[in-house]
Amino acid sequence: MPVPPIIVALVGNPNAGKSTLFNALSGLRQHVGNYPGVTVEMKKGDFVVDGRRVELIDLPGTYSLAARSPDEMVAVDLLLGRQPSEPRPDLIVSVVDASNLERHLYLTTQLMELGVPVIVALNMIDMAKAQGITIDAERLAKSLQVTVVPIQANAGTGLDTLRAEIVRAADHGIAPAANLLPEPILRASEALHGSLNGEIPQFLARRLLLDVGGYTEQWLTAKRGPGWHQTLLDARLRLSESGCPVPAAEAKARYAWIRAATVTAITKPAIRPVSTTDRLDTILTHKLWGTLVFLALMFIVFQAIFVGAEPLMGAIDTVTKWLASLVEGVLPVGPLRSLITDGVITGVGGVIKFLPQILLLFAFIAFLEDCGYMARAAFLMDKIMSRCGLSGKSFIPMLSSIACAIPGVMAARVIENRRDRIATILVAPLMSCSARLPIYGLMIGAFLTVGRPFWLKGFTLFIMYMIGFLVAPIVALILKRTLLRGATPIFVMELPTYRRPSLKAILRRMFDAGWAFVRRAGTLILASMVIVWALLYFPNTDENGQKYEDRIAAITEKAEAAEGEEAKAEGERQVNALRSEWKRTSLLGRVGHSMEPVFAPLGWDWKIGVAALASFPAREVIVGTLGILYQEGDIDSDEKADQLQNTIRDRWSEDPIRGPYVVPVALSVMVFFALCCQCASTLAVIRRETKSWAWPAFTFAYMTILAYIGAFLTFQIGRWVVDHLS
Amino acid sequence: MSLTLDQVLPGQFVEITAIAGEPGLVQRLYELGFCEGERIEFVGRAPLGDPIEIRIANSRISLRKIEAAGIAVRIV
Repeated sequence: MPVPPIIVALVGNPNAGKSTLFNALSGLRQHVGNYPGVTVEMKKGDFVVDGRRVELIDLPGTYSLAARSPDEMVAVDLLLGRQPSEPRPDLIVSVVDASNLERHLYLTTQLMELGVPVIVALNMIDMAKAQGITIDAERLAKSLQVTVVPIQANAGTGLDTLRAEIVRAADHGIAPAANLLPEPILRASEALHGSLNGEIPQFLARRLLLDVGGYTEQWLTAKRGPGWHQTLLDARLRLSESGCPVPAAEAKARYAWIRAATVTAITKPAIRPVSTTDRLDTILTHKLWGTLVFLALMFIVFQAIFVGAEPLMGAIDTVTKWLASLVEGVLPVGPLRSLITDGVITGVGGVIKFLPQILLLFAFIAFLEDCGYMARAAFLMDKIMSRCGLSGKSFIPMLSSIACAIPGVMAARVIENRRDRIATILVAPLMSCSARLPIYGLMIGAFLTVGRPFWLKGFTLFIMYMIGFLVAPIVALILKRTLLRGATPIFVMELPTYRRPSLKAILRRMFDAGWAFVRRAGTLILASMVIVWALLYFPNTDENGQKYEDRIAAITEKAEAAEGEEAKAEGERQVNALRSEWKRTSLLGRVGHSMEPVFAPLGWDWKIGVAALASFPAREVIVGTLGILYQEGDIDSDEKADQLQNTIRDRWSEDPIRGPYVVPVALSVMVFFALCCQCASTLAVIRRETKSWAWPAFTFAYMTILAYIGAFLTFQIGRWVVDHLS
Repeated sequence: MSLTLDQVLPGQFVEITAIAGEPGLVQRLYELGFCEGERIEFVGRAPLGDPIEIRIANSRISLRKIEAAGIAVRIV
């Protein structure tokens, strides 16, 4: 009979070094556990010590077990063994920061009431020592009546002892008999527990009494009605009258007990020495310098991402083209070959091209979080974000979305409040992303460069970015006032000590996030690329029943065999014309044609409409699609891009209806792309982060409507301006 | 008229005399080490005046003025 593994729960305040400890103990043997109905994920890992297998669960960082939402309740339920898919932990390792012991022990005293053995992992002893704080672990263990193991998770110190203690506690440990709550509270909670007929365990009955408006109170009231709720309120009133008002009485009792237990064990210097964090924060949270450093940092990071990702993007582009040509060489002309080269390889490759940028952003966000600066950024930006109904914690996720919404949406995880988190996720795609740059480049290049003031190009680009920056907060505000309405979330936030981020941790997070993205978004991206490919490919026979591909292949062969530039150029022209005709008669082309009345108010013709439709899975596709529709072939070089610009400029100017209004049309195209969510990857990530299909569907719908209205207004106003001012 | 935390000036040291507010906020404050008799150093304010930053026990906490308005203090 195999020995069952020891189940250990890792619990602690955020920034106590819990994750570092988890990684140090379980190494690479970890995976993520999902829980139904909540977006919280818990990492699980395992390791072996003395032939015994230990399963470790890393619970989300928390300051107490007073759960106020389903997300917070998940951890409490798991610790009580009430999580259906999880076994109850055999013991708890309470990770505390030695520099901040009293505060961290608040949670520990609650953990000691759960009825399982508790080991206190006294972490960051090095930093405590640097501040002149010494802790006598043995004395502390005696007064707390639990095992205390001093460790330094990031250096691996004390981990062997911890591992040994885990085994010892599993075999011989006893649950602490902590009873530090005042008598009246204990009696009242026992009475409450009895009256509920065992529906909830003793511990939860105590929490029910203490946590005014907590999650347990919420769902029990929903279940048992206002009559029952009144009995709870009466119980609290009686407690208040007997001198134990909740929740104050709990805090008083716990801190008094902690103070008594630690007074002999901790030695602190009389005058608190100035720490590195203090010195750094004098600048970094300073009204003027702090803001300047912040802006400079953001600017540098974005520059680095754009510059650093460029060569990688080019490399991926080359590999994609090479793969496609490889397949072309192997397979015969036909739907399968086209599916693989144009649909899968080119389509998916076009999305993978942005992976370097996404990974760099993940690394940047992980770095900010790890070193502790993220909280400072939230502190500096909170006032501005509050004006849009959000909090400072939403700032970095929204900022990251300027390069790419995907890391931004995933970074929104740090926002504890569910409504704020969703609001941030829903508006992140509005923050202009770098995949919009190709279409901006094309339109600006075609219509706002030649014969225009030199500054117009940059200015227009700036305006396009500003549209996103202005619309996003407004939409967030509207959402927070309507759909996502609720009480203002609590902002109170700890600014952790600065610490040197671990490269290993950052790389690991970068890899985890990147892999999660590819795996989850991959299916949706692939599916949408294939669908769009099919809509542009079929029907693939011309009016005479001949396959376009055959005709193109025949012309290409002839052109290659022919002599002279003229013949080759003629061949290329014929091929481009054929491809354009093909796309025009394809399913998507026909749909685009029939939708002309829908596009007309925006100033678009069917070609722009079809290209926009084809770009819904991935907006950068538009340039290539326009290239085909305007018979320019593959836009794979700068000169081809310039050529396309010229062609579009000429064609649009020739158009009898649209001719005089080319600039409003160009602007309306750009505005549409600025406001529309044409990115299957982003929608897939939104689905993953919100665990529902409703939110990505809503995002797609509201942004498409917004984009349509925006493009409509741009064109109509632009047309009016042209009519009346020239 | 009692002094509340949001009215304190940068550099001042105060002691908490009472904590009031919405229950969720009050509990969060307890969890972060705020309780009667505890000392607070007022470090400063964010560029636009809100939120404020304080030091309590050995940690730095930031909170909005409206959240600090429920914490009654006296200067020490």
